[in-house]
Amino acid sequence: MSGYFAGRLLESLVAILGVLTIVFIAARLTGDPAVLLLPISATDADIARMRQELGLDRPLLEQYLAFLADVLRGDFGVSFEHHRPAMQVVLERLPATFELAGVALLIGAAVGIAAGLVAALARGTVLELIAMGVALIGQATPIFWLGIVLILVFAVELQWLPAGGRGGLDHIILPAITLATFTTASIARLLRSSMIEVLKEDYIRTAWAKGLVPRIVYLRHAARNALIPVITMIGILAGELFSGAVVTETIFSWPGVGRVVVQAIETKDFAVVQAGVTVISVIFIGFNLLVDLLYGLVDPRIRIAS
Amino acid sequence: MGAFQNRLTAGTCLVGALMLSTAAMTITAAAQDLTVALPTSVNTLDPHNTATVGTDLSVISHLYTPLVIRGPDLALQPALATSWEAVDDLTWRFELRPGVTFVNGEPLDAEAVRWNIERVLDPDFNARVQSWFRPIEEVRVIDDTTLEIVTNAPYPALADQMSSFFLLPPQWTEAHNPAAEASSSGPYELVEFVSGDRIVLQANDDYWGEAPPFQTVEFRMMPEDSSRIAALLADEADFVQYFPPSEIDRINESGRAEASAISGIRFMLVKFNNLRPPFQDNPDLRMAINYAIDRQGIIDSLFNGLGDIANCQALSPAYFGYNAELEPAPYDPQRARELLASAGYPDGLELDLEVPLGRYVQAQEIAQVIAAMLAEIGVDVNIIEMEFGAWLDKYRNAGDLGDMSYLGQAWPTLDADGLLTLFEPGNAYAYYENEQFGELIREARSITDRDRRQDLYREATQVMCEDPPHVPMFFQPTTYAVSNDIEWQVRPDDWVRAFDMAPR
Repeated sequence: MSGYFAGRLLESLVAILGVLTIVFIAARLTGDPAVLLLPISATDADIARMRQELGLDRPLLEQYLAFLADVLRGDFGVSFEHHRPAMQVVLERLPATFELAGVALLIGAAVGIAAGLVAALARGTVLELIAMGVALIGQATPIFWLGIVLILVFAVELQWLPAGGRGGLDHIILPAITLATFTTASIARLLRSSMIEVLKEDYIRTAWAKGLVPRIVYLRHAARNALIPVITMIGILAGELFSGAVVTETIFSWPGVGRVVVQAIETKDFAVVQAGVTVISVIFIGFNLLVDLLYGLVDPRIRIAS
Repeated sequence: MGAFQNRLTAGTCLVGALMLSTAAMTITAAAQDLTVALPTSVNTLDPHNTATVGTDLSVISHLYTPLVIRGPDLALQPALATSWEAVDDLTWRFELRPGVTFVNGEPLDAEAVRWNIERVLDPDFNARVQSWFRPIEEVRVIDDTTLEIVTNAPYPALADQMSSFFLLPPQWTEAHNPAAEASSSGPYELVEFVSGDRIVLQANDDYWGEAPPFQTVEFRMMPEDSSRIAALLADEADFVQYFPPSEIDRINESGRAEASAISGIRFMLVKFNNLRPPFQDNPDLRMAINYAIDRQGIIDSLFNGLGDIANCQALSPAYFGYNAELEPAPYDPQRARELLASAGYPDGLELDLEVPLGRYVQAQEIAQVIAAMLAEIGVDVNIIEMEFGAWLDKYRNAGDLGDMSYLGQAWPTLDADGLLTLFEPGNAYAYYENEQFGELIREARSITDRDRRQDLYREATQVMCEDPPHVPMFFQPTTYAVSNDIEWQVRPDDWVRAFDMAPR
């Protein structure tokens, strides 16, 4: 198990190095930050001096090696826009992102599991039709549209909740619901089909034959097994949620990691782009590792196989 | 008796209600706070490292004092400087207000002003706005309240340029990061700066000028247009700008805020690359395109009719040097077809139109309308949409602008010796080689006499109107909306300042 884990960890590091390299090159292919940073009155000499200050006048390979050496020391450079260490600019946005992702994931997991179980157990009834209909709509609804509609209804018309920004508990409700919609729907649909499969298994028939009460059969024997693929799904979704949700953050003016990275891409703030993408990939890969570990814990067959 | 008592009660109630409402009004008026929703994040409070008026410099203008300040009527007004004059062609003298200090106690005197200018000119610091002050040779401190700025060439717009130059406290700046903190000398002090979220200011009790109209001012960063409008309608923001003109009616119909648009200072144009065929040495082709575009039609259909057509020049009436005698080319597709034929393209031709994204209002829609209008005279337009940074790289750095491009240009000093330099032969933005025009603006730059300069700019704009290097379109309207609780002195330049607003 620990050998397996070490292998996965090494793979992850290689993946992060790959991401760093792609981001480094992609950022530099998109144009010159010096012109964007300077007023329109800047001369060619001003632009050349700014490029020099930013270290962009050196050969690409030299820039890349220096960048890697700095990253190994934990130094991601200074933001061109914020005039502070780029990693600080990104890390100070993490609490906002984690707060939103955490609440959205809780909503998504709770509602999604409940809806999935109901749909599987109430097969062929109106209840299943409603639960799956809602899930299908949830998965198909563009987040952007949903967010705006929620703002118009709950902030502008009813004036129950704030329209945007980060603050008290009331500020997180609308963005969390918006962000949770897709998660909820995916979990509900997956759990339903997984539960239906499991209910066909021999050991469930055995359980019924033993005369166990439905609660025990459904929850202890069926749901526990049906949840295994759902855990993987939650892990992957969590990786996406916790690495920043650009659209939701933008609609709700939520100061998260996703927005700071997108803004840095627009202003060609390379240092922040690089620090941000590194943080995002570490989070994403971290959650994937976690899923693998959890998988081994809940399903002994995987442990034995590895 | 019963009736009398009723009347008495009713009367008392009425008086009571009146008193109550008066009291309530007084309380709201005195304690009213202002919330401004900004479309892009403010990332630095260092006045010497940003040239963005609409966001960064607007916020900074609440914290720091400039030498002179531009009022809502666009006239320069005294700030730290009580008076200023050009002593000779190369020397500007500023008389300063005595006794102005920063909240940390540092004096804002002539010595502090000198330190600030030298900070910007310091090659090691490499301030982003260094190019503004390149002609400055020397800053002479005559005494605490008198300062002379000597330039190596005449700098007629120096005082105008000073209106976007804010002064930092020298000692404090050495020990702090002015990008993220502030030690104010302006009407407001910094309370909180949460990156990407909000900036909170409160009135500075020691401010040298008039007490500001709001006790607390909050700038909130809200990148999405619909969200900014929602915040306004939900009474969470008092002032928003830069939303699509199509939203104006919806906001007005809500009854919660008033919306409109003002013709701005950003000159929108369809630029030609006149340095290579087919536009090079082909004035008929340039004129043909000019006659083929119905500018008023675009304003009417896409900007709710709000916005002013450019009068055959880059300058709007807000700029010094504006030529009131010029007339825009009429929309005349028949004439355009004739000119196209005499330009050597009787069967039409194919032209690229580059459109940078995310920068100019309705750029994609406008490009499509232009393409449709040009199609009518037989010009086949390929619209090429580009990410702004990549486009700027191609345009400014590589000298490789496409046949045509839709773009906008403005110059915050509101002086022709700024905006017109972008069309001067040799300027990287120009793509235009009209030596007569170049000579006129170089001559205007070499003197400080206003009347003579005005004459030269009249001539220069005339020359450019007759040999247009582009299609002058219109001045990009700035949409804005204010809540019913406040009033705003509308201004066409981009400044957003609490002290241009007041509780209603």
